[in-house]
Amino acid sequence: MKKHQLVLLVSLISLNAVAGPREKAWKLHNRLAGVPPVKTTNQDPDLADPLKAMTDAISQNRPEDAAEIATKHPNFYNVVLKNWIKPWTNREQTPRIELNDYVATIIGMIRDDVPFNQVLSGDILYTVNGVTAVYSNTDNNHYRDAERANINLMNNLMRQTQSAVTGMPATAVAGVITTRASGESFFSAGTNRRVNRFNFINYMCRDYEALHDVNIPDYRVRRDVERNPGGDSRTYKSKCVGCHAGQDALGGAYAYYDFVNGRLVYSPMVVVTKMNHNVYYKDGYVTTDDSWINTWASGQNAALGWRGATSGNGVKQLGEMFTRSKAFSQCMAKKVFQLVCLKEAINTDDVEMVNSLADQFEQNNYNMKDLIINTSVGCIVNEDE
Amino acid sequence: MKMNKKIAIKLTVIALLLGIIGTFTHCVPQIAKEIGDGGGVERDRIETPADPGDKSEGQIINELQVTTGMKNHEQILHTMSAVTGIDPYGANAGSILTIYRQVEASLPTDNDIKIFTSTQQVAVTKLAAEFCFLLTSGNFAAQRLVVWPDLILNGQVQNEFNSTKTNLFIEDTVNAFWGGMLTQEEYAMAEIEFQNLVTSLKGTDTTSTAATGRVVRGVCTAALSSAYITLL
Repeated sequence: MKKHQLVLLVSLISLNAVAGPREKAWKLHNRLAGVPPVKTTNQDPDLADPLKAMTDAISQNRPEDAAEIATKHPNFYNVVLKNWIKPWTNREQTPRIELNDYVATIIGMIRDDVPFNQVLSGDILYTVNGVTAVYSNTDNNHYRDAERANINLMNNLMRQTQSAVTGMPATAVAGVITTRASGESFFSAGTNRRVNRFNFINYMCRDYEALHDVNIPDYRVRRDVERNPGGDSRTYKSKCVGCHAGQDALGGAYAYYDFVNGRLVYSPMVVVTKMNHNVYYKDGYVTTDDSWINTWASGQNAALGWRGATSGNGVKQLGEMFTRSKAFSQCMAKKVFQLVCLKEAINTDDVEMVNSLADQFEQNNYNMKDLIINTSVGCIVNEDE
Repeated sequence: MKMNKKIAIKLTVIALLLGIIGTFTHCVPQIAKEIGDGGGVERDRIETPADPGDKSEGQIINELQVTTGMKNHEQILHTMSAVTGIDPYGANAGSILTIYRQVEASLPTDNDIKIFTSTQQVAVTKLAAEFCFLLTSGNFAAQRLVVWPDLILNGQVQNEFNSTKTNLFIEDTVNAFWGGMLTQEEYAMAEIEFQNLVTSLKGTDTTSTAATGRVVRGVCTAALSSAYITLL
């Protein structure tokens, strides 16, 4: 082994092996703020010398205080949260995209401790102060320019009501689902099924493969799904129906939305054409309104822990149903665990920790910042003890 | 020869049949392209259970649970900014953003250390070199003073990098860039490497002032592109 490789290896090992309060503080700050703690001229002594303040807090058995100091660094919002959330907002699930209203809104909610169970239903939107380009329903220039100028999101995100900014009726607004970025990624073209799939991926941590259930009624499966693909109806019964029976029954919620000419358009009481086009089976379900039914609330997917109403109208009610579920809380805890612990929760201890964090998240009024702080303490500060 | 022809014909027929079955056995062929993966297209996944004793190096690495990560592109940029004191979005630092835009795609996208490649390390080094170039320029004398308070950049290399000042320079570099997180053993190892680098870069002209800048930039770039900066 070459000498420089050895140095790197020793360094890698030692970074994990050394675990005094100072080293833990250093690691905690790096994970939460994306940068090491350095001295500043800030008036707040905790922020002027964050390494010392965090080391003291850990030594005095106040690890949450240490983590909280790191979350006061602007890069917690500008770098760490931003890159964490960006993949939720596009089909490619990549962070290599511009800042957008979806990302900014979630960052703002975390900063302001807005209960995170409003993320898919609240009439909420965050814009950025100090940007020349104002918010537009038809382009992303406002957020693009904010990011290019590296505007401090911690200080400059401004909470607004989405309905007031976009002009969409308040009853039609459903948190980040109805943001422009979501429209562009998930409502454009297609049949409005994509948005539902990505809601499951992002907020329930499950793609359709995991939800596949051929034992639920298929009376809501739409006409564009062939009932005998390849001339064999068994294929439909054994495969297609597993996803479509559930997703099409929920899909009515999106019936009045479309992404047209660069903007998300809501047409109350008018089902968009793409919901009912391509008739491959004329007796299939025809969407006539925005009602939806969660047929996955029974059968194997009852394990997702649905609570309260499992049918309703429109995206807002659908978003509320998602965030009431146990699977939502567990998914958020799992995502945060991956963000700060840099691993999947696979072994028993980690799974137990994630489940416990999910419970705390619910008891703590869905406070996402606290979830991040508690998780980082669990796997960075307490891990080696 | 006849047998070969028969076999060829049989194989062709089988291939065509398989093709037809493959083409028509799906749910929504027309819509699938429009709606990406979410249109109800089922993906057939046949996974052969792997023999645990027959795993490739890649598989073993993939299955390893690690708790150390690699900083992503933005985290690397901001870390270099934090430890040098140079704001890449600030005045006179435009060249850093220019280099960053050039190498951004080659820098890590996420924090997965298992997919870190040598190409990404080259990009890290290039970005570090630009930070160090500016840190030794006239516009950033104040930031330089914070990192190396005893350094006289236009001093002769024999003075600035004599034994005592070399040790001091290395100590300042490690403290500023690596946060003084090293154990004594690690520090000793790093010190030897930096000493060797200083010796290599000093050259033979002991009165040279250009060599002083060259040594500073070399050590600075090496420290700034190291694992202490890029690991999470």
